[in-house]
Amino acid sequence: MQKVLKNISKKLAPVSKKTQTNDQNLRWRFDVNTFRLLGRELITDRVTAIFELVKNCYDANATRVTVELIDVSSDKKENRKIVIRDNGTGMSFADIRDKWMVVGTNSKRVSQYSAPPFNRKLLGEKGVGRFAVDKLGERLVIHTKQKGEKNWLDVGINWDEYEARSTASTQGNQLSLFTEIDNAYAYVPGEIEDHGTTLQISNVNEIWTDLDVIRLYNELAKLLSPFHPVNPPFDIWLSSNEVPAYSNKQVRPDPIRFFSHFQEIGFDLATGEQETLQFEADKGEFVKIRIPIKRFGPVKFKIYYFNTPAKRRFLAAYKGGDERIDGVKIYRDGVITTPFAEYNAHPDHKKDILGIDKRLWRDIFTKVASREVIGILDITKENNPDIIDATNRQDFVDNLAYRELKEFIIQQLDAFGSAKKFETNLKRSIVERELIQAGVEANQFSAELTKVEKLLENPKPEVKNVFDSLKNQVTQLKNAISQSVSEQKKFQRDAERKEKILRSLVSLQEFASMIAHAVRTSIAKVKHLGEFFKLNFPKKEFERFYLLYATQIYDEMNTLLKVTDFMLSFASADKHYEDFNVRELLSELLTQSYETLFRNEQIDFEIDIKNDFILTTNKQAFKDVFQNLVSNSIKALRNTKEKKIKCSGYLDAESFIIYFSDNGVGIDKGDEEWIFGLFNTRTADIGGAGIGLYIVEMQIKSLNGTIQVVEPEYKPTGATFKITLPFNRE
Amino acid sequence: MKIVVIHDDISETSPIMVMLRVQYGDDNVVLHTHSQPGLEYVLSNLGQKMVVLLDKNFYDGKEKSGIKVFEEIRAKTSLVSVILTSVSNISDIGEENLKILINNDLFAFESFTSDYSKIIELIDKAVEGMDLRIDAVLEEWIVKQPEEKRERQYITTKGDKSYTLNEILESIRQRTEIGRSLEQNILKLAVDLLTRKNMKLDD
Repeated sequence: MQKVLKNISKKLAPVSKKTQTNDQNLRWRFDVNTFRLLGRELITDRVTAIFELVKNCYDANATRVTVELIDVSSDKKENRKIVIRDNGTGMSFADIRDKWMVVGTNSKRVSQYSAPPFNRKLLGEKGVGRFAVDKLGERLVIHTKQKGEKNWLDVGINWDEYEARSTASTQGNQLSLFTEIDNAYAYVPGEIEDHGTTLQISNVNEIWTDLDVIRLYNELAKLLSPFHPVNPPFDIWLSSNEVPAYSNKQVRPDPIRFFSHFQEIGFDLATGEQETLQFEADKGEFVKIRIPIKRFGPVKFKIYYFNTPAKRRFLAAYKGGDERIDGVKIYRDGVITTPFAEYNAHPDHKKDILGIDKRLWRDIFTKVASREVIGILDITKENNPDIIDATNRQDFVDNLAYRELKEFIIQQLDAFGSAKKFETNLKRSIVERELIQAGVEANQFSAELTKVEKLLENPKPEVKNVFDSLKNQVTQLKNAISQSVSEQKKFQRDAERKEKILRSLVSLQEFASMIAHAVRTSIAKVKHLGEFFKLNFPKKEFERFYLLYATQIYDEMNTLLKVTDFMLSFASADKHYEDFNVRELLSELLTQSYETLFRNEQIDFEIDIKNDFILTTNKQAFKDVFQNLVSNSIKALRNTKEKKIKCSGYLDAESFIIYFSDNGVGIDKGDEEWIFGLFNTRTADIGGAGIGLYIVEMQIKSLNGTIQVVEPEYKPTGATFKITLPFNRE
Repeated sequence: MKIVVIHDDISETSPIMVMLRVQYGDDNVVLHTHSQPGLEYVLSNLGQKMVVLLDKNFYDGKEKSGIKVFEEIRAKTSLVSVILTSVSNISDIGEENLKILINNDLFAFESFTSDYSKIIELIDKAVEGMDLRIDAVLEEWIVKQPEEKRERQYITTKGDKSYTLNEILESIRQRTEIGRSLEQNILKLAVDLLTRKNMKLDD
C-alpha cells in the first residue's frame, strides 16, 4: 500500500495542476459546506463511521475486511492513519464519479440486495460512506479495482483543502456554493483477477485511546450473530499497531460469559412447532412449551440474563462491558438486521425498537430491561419472509407478523421477569432461614454449655469465670440473632410496602392518563353537540338533529358519570378494608347478582366452593376481579352453543384455591401470560380493551396471591384461571 | 374536492359531519371510523383532491395510529392536506412523532376539544390552499385527461429524456426533481406571458 501511495502522489502532483477540463480530475458535484454539515448530523461518532464503512464492505460482497489502525494514539495528526481494506467487488471509474461523488437525492435504493451470487441483504445506508470518511480524517485515498479490469484506480481526496477554500470564500463575502476543487486520480497496474477497495484515511481527526479500540471491536462484533455462521463468510479483522491484544485479531462475537440465567428456544419444522418459554413459579424452573409456528415463521432465540451480581462480574471482566448487555437483537442469516445496525454511542439514545423498555414503567420490579439481557434472535430470509426491514432502516415494516414477533419476544423476556421475581422472594426467605438456623444453633450451644457445666462438679473459680462469660456471650448472641430476625422481617415488610406504593403510583399514573383521555373525549363530544345548539337553534333545516343531540348529550353524561364513579372507587380502594367470607361473597355475587345476566345469555352456571375462608381486604376490589372474569367469559362464549361457567374453590394446606372456568373459545397457546398485560386483547372486535385481566392480576397480586391460566376444565375448548390466595400474607 | 374524516369518535350524525355535509355536499364528505380502511380509501383515490381530518389515537391498540396513517399517505403523495386531531395536548406527542409531522408537511394540528367550527375553519383553509397550489392544479388537470393521452410521451427535456403525463403525475406526487422543475417552469411561463402584456389574467 505504502508503495502504491508513493506511486500515486508522484502521479497526482502534475495532474492536480491541470485545468478543470482535464479528464484526469474528478470533481465533486455538490456544495461542500452543506455536505459536511449533513455529514456531521449523520455520523456523530468515529466508531459509527467505521461501523458504516464496514457495512459497506459487506454490501460490496466482500468475504474479508481488515480495519487497520496505525499510530492512531499519536499526538501528531499527520502520523495517524486508518486503512479499511476489503476484497469486495470494487468500484469502477463510473461508480466513483456518478455514485460515490454525487450526493444522492433519492434515498431509496434500486435493489435491497447485493449483487449475485451473494444476494446479501444490504446493510449500509446509501451515501453515508463518504460522510463517514470525512468524520474520520482529512485525507483519503481510494484504491479500488473490479475483477477483469487491468488497473487499480487511485483517487485522492483532501477534505482540509475544501475546508480552507470554503472558509476563504465566506470571509471574502463571495458566495461560491460549488467547489472548484479537482480530485486527482491515477491508474496503477494490477492483476486481472484482483478486486476490492481500500480506503486509506490519513490526518485522522481524533486520537484513539486503547478503550476506543476496544469499543470499536465490541461494536464490530455485534454485526455478526455468534451462533449462525455467515455463508458466504464475512470475516472482519482488526489490526492495531499500538494495542497488542488487537494486533491482528479476527472480530468474533465473544462467547457470552458471566450470565446468571440462560435459555434457548428453537423450532421443529417437521412438526411445525415453535418453542416458547414459561417460568413455573411452583417448581422454580423454566419450561419450554411447543406451540404451532407463529405467523412470523420459526425462530431460534438465545437469551442470557444478568442479575445484579452477574452484571457486576461481567462489568469487572470486560472494559466497556456496559455496552454489551444491550437487549435483544435480530440477525438474519447470521448478519445483523438494518434496524439494529445503527450504532449509537450513548446507551440512553439507543432506540427501543422492540418496545422492551417501554413496558418497564408498568412494573419495574418484575419486568426485564434491555440492559439486563443479551438476546440473539436468528431469522432467515427463507423462513421469515414477512419480517421486512423498513426502508427508513429504523424499524421493520409494521405488519401482523412483526407485531406477533414483538409480542413473542416480550413473552420470552417476561418468563425471565417471573424468574427474577421468584428469586428475589427466595433470597429473602434464605436470609431469614439462615438467621433462624443461627438462632437454633445458638440455643443448642447454650444447652451444651449448661450440660458441660453440670458435668464439671465444683469447677475451679477460673473455669467457672470462663463458663459464666461464655454463657453471657451466648445469651447476648441469642438476643442479637432474634433481634436480627425481627429486623430482617421489618426490613422485608418495609421493602414490600415501598414496592407496593411504587407499584400503585405507577399504575395510578397510567390509570390517570387513561381516565383523562376518556373524560376529555366525552367532554369534546358534548361540547360539539352544545356548540351545534348555540350556533343553529332554532333553524328549521336542522330540526331533526335537536332531539337526537339532546339524547346524545344525556348518554354521554352517563358515560362520564360511570368513568368518574370508577375513578372514585379506585381512589378510595384502600380505605374500606373489611373481613368477609369468600364463599359467601362469591355465592351471593355469582348466583344472585348475575342470575338475570346468566339467564339472558343462556349460560349454565355452576358454583362449588367447599370451605369457608375469611379474607381482609377491600370487598369491592375483590368483587371487581370476578366481575371482570365473568365479563371475559361472556365474550369468550359468544359463539358457543351450550355455554357453561363454573367457579369452584377449596382450602389446601397453605392457601385458598379458586378455579374459574368457561367452555368458550379459550386462550391461544403461548398467550397465557400475555393476556394479563395492559391493553392486550384478542376481542378488540367486540369492544375488549385489554384492561379487565390487567386489573384482575393487579388486585390478586395486592392480596399476595397469584393468578394463572391452567389446563382448561372443559377440554378441549374453554379457559380455566387458577387463583391462589395464601394464608400467610405477611 | 373530497373531505375524508378518519376518526373513531365521530359518527355520521356528529355535528361536525352534519355541518361538513351542508357545506361540501353529502357525496363529498366521507367518514371512516377505522384507520386502515380510511388509509386505503385515501390511497385508492389519489387522483381526487382531498383534505383528510385524522384522529391521532384509535381505541383499538391494534389499529394503525393517526401518525402512521399520515406517514403512509405521505409515502405516496404530498398532494393531500392532512389535519390531525387528538384529545391529548400537542405536548403529549413525542419528539420523534412531532418531527415526522412537521417535516412531512402536516397542514394543521387541532385539539379535538376545540370548537368543531374551528376544526371546520381549518378544513376550509386547507381546501382553499389546495386550489392555489400549482402541483394540485396540475394533478387535477392530468387526472382529467383520457388514459391513452396520459400514457403518451408528453414532454421532452433538454437532456433528451421524455416523460408521459402519468410519469409527471407520479413525480409531482413524490416531489422529485422533474416534477418540481416542471412546476417552476409553469410559474415562469405564467409570469412571462403576463409581463409581455399580450395576455391578461382573465384570458
